Amino acid sequence: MTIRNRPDRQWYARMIQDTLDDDFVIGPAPFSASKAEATEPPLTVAFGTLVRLARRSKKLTVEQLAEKLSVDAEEIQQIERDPSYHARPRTISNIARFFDLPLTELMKLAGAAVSNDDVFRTKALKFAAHSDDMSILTDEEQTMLRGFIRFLREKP
Amino acid sequence: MTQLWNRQSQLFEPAELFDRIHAADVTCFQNHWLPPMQAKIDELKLAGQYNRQTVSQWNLEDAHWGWPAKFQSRAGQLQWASYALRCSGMTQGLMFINLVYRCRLPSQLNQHMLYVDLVSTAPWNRPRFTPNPLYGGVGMVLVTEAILRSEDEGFDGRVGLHSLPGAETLYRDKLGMDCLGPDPAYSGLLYFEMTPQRAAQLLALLTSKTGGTV
Amino acid sequence: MTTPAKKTLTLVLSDAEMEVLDALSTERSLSKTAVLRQALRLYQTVDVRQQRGEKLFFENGKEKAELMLL
Repeated sequence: MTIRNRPDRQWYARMIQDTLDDDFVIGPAPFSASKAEATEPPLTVAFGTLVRLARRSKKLTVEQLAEKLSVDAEEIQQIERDPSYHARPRTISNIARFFDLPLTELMKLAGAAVSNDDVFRTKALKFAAHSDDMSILTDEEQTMLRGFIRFLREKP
Repeated sequence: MTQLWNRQSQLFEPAELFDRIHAADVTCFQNHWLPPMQAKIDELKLAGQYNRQTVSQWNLEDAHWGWPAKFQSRAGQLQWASYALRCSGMTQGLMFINLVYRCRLPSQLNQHMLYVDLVSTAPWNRPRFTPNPLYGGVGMVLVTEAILRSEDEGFDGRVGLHSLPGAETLYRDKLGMDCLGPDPAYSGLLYFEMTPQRAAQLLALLTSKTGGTV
Repeated sequence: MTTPAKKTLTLVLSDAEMEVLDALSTERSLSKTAVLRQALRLYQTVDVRQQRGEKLFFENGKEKAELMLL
């Protein structure tokens, strides 16, 4: 696929001179969701799923977990349900400690830290996509949960 | 071969455009682009001055784009194509384009187009980042290549892109693209499209009759 | 600029398939090769996402219909 009608040297020279003071940087704006996040579910979906399944695996209600973590039940609910909600670092830390999960990885899932790791992202989203909303964890959910927790703990 | 404008010597210099980003370009990004940009960001953070305005002021919007990660994840995917522009032994510019997008402009609705996803020039070329920027024209060469690629793909020069704040005049007035307004799916950035007519017009300016290569 | 290496593939299509290819080529103002190229890109894009466990939806105003078995 060769380009046949490339403009000549003068064209380039003139266009370059004309646009010398212009800014050609193209891409997502800083401090906002990147394009990937606009079209892909945010990682917080995986965080919410993880918290929800982990809670249910210990047969705890939202209120019971909130009490154990010394946080508001409402915050747990938002974490579990609302992908746009960003949990407070202290809450993330308490969750990590309670469920014995690596804090760094949890911070990434919760949106409190940046992750450029595509493998991490893929695994997290796959985990979130497979969960279901039943009060008792199915065998499949147990397996998924254990597998994902193992992945988080084993991350270097 | 193409050319870039050396702002310091006030001369054009030969530059080479590669039709994909190579590992060497990623290395150049990691070893030469990122450190000065990161240093500036760290400086701003330490001074409590790291916000949208200062990032724009210093032209550091692309520091968090993660070129290496994108290079890895997009490598095997046919929807993505990339370009690298090198001059005097260094990577001066990088670009990612997407080939499966469709037009939103009513007159071109759903026609195939080439979407410009990311364009970056090395920090030493940026007038807002350094008092002595080196090369000018990196962005212009890359965006032109996007239009030419669009024609080559059979998309008749249709190109779409989102403009970072402050660059609207460039796309609307100088390149003659149509503005479709702020895109809520993309942080409200202005979305522009180039029509086949405008692409033909733009490329016809001073093109030699033989359509010769540079 | 280096031109990427190309390989040739001979495609045997049924009449119906050829008709579709012709129609798409005309409607989209693309050569038949370009149509197939786009098809390949799109197929891979969808495949990559589905491998990740994502679902493909079409949306029409308020209704979302999942595109299964793609």
